[in-house]
Amino acid sequence: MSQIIQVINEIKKELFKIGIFQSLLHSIIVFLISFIILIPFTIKWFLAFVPAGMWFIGNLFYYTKKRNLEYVESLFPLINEQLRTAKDNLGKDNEIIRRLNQDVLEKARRIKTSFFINLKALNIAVVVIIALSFSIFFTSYFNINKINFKDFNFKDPADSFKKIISGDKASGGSGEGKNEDIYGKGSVAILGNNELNLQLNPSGTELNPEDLKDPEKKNFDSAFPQDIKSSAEANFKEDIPKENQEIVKKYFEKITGGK
Amino acid sequence: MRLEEAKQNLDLVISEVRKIVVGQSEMVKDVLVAILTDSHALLEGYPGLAKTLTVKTIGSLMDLKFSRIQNTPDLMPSDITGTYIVNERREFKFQPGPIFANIVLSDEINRAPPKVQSALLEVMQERQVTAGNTTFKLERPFFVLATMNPLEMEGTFALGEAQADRFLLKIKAQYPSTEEELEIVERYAESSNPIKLKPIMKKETIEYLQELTKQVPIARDIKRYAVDLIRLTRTKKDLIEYGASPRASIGLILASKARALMEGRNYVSKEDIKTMAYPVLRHRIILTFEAERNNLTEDDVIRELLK
Repeated sequence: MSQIIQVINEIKKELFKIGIFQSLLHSIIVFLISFIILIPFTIKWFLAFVPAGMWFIGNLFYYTKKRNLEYVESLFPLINEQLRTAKDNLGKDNEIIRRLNQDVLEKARRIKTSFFINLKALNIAVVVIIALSFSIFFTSYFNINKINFKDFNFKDPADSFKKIISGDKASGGSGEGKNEDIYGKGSVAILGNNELNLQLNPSGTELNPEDLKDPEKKNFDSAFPQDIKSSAEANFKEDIPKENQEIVKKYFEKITGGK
Repeated sequence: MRLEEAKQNLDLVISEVRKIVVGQSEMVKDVLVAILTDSHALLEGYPGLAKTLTVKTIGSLMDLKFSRIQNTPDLMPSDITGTYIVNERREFKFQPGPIFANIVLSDEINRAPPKVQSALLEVMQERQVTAGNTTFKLERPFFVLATMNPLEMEGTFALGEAQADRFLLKIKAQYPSTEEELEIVERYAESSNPIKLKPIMKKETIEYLQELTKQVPIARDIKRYAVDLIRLTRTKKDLIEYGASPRASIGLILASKARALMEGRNYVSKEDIKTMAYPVLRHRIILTFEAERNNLTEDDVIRELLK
């Protein structure tokens, strides 16, 4: 009899472990979906843990309730109705019940934990997690972290999305405050017939205000180094014919406003 | 005796019955269920479907005292229970009737007058006979296997619902298949050597099997399923006017246990409940006028309940 209790407890324990694993896997999916939903609305990302946690508790509760001995029997038709009968008749002892317990123990040895895992559902969950992770990666790469619905053109959603993905009208991700015109106007960037295509790496322009320090005082030497000398301008003393020197001198004096 | 041996014994009885009775395997099994549960059974079917033959054959295979009551409208209760007679020494002496046997075949029970039916049913319930101031206990095991013909209504007295409730099972004899009927013809119209059977099951064996039947365990939710089914007969007012009593719940569980034992299983399955629901319930429910107007039979309604 105690062996039957032991077997039933072991089965329940394994089911609980698998329940935790499955609930955890589903909670990760819920977390990733919540995370993706929260990004465009600039809501704190860690709030995604709330629905994930709630899902974990709810799913685990549902799983524990649903995955009972009847479920085990449905997976192993060999012990169908026997396991439940053995469990419900634990306090009784007669020839047939002893035989039933013996049968259940023999058949229960063939039960493996892997039988309880739904491989198809597990694969789907893993693929969904990978897909969601990639979508978060691409969302970060294209810098889509805020959608301005005011500027969203519902008549031409394709263009609006293109702008969102290209970064136009979207925040640059550097610093705080209004920085929508960080790239300037397109007309200014046109030089002659060539369009200046500027691309700024947002991560390279990050400024951390905490890294800014007060300007340091520097003492400079008053004396110039020896190798630096002043020399007089002698352009007008160049090879000018003597008879014209007076005219050139007066010309320079005139244009410089000299006396 | 182990479970396997019990099954072997019961299989042997069935195979021996098959030497005499062609087909009717469900009927034979249900009669054995009644014996295993220490209960009574009512066999209903058209004439010539081997009802009486089946009971007689099973009776001859058991090493028990067998008697037959051929019911007629002029039968008196004392004709079956027995009566006091004056012997040679001018003393009153109780002369036991045919009811003092282990297996009683009450043929065409609906031909017996209500007084006789009532006396018989009292004996079935109490398993004792009271004559004058003396009560005589009947020897165990005691089964009454009654047969009934649904065709003839003239000169018959229909069993009341309360009386029919005394029978654990109402077994229906079905028409044989073509192959079975061919075999019946070959066996009884072309052969002149009647097969003689010997008793193969002793009284102790039957008592032990009855004890073993009670020991067959049943899961709580299967027990609940059976009880819910019986309770449903009381709430399904569109089809059933009067539902089954708690006696039906006891009977259904017991019959399912017997069925499981016959199958050599050490537990009661939901299928046992479903199978035994028909013979246990068909004489315990009264259909509504609406159901009868729609040509529904008791079996149709039970099938509906099992869905």
